[in-house]
Amino acid sequence: MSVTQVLRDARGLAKGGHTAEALEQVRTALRSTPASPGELDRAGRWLGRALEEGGIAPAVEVHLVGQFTTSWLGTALQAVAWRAGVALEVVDAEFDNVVQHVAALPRAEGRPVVAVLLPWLGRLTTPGAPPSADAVDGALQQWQVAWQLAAERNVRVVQASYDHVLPGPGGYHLAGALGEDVGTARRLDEALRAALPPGAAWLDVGLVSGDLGRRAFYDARGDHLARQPLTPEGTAWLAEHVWSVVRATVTGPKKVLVLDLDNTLWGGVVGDEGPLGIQLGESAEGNAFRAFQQHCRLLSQRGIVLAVASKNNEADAREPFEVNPDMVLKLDDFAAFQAHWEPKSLSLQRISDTIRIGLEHFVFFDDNPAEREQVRQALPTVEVVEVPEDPAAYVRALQEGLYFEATAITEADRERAQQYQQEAQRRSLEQQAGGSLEAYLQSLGMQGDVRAVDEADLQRVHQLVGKTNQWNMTTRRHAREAIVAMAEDPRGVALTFRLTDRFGDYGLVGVILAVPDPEDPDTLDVDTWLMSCRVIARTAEQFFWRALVERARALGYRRLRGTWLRTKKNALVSELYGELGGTPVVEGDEERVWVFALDGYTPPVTWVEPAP
Amino acid sequence: MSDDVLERVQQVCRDVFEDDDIVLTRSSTAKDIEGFDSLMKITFFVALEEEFGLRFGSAEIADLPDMGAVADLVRAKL
Repeated sequence: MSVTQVLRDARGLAKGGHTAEALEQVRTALRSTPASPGELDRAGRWLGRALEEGGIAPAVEVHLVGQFTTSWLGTALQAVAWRAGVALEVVDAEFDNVVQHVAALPRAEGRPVVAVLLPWLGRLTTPGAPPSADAVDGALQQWQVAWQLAAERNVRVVQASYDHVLPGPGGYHLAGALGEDVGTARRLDEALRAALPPGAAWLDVGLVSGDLGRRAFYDARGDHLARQPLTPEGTAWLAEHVWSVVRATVTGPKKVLVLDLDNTLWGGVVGDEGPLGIQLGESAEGNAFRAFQQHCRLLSQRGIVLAVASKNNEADAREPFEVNPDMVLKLDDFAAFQAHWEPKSLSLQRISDTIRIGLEHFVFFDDNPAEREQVRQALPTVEVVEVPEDPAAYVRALQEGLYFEATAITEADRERAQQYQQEAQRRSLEQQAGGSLEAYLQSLGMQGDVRAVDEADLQRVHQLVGKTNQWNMTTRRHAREAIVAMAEDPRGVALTFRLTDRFGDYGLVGVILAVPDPEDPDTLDVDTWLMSCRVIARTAEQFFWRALVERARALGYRRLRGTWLRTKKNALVSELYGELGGTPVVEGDEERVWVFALDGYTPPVTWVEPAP
Repeated sequence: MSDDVLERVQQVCRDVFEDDDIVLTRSSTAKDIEGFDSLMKITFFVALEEEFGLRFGSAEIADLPDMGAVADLVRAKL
């Protein structure tokens, strides 16, 4: 059903007092049917009243403060936000009344208030004519005053850029010159952007208009008629971008992209055509799927978490990733992998549980309209991409949805995707192992590497000795020189432990410093043993202990002695030497000591393999 | 109403002004429609452009005395 028809029905419903139901139907229609600019405008105008009548408190207040008429931008904005399930209060400031409008705002308390500041180059100068230096300074100053006023009122700022409509009298090739519109807009934008305070978001209108084409974005007729210089298409497209920046400012971008496989990441059905028979590379269609994979991979590197939801036999679904050399995405690019024959909504729910990110942060991309509809209906908070028929248009469809627009990207964003991938894979193995800890540990493919402490590791060893609290037997905070002395003692054993598993490298995560007992040359005394808490409960300590036993034997020792000294934090390991098979000789509250007779001693089992 | 262009104009009018009781005749004017101010006038004509897939010139929408004239203008551009 068209949005227009749904709006007609909604009018009737609201009239009959069923405004809540009407609102829900309009939202569903906006989510599942592409709306024309006129439909967005009418939906937004109706929403402005219906939300109030329906008693829905707006979550965000947006002030459109423009140097052109923003009435139609406001209605479209209202509609695209409601499509995403967010009720806005849109305030359309009086035309070209920037500073006064912001100055009149009350201090924002509670719900976020955003001021979207929209310049218009034509207010500064006759189009094509160079503006005076005073005019340029005045314009810059005006925006800066508005920022200052907004900050004082706890109002967030989205500053839109200037843009040119036509190259002007200089023509296309000289338009960037000083004094021409293109050059003026660029210089103003540079200055604005440089001065933009932290926390304020920048909306590059030139990118938005350029994407649609200025010919289709701007409209001189509307400018002359009502100071509305944007076409309906331009208005709708700008509204999408304003919304994406407002959303980024208020709640942040979407975090998770869930992908289908057959005819989404590759052409054809892997269950029929086999992992090497699918379309990938080598043809126009295959190249399109590869390009889409490439885009998804780059999103992942930017910090977007990827997951798979496919109706397939799991083994079939995984095979292309393992054997097809044309695949850009690999299994370890995904934080979760759901391949079975149950509903996709269930897959998304499970992915959400696995990676512990709410469904409201999810975007779903699937070539099959029936699956999209199932997810739309079952999971109203998930953004469902309207996927085009031609895979060549996939990248654009995903990018145009503006789901992942952020105002800044941090290093933490980039690392996040990787961490989620590793964590989720470990947990999924834990589940697959069906509760058997042994099977899980085995499936981790852990490899341990024990080495004598050397110069290169000294700093890290010293650092761990100085700061490790929980998994620390004696918590002796040795000076660097003391560690060096123990490492250089030919009768001592000073070891480091490194661990990797299928999902990642943990680095140096354990230290043992053992010295000969001055009173008994046959006993090696474990002065210090510590491990990083990141690797506990994985039989890593058993592996490390085994290595110590071997070295003690090689040096001719007959006994090992282990000590636990109580601190506030190390109860975790108070019984470990007993579990390893030691015989208690001191059983105090503050200090416990065990002895291991090495003759005939078998250390406990470990699932860590020695690194090659 | 046998004029099918006027009938479509009437439907656009109902959708834009959110009033399903609007009934247009050739002599209906802006005054007969609640909320027909200068902004909504533009909204209305832009909606007509979308409905009929045409574009009005700057001068054409300035002085249209009644809906009959609107329907005639649309018809001339179809």
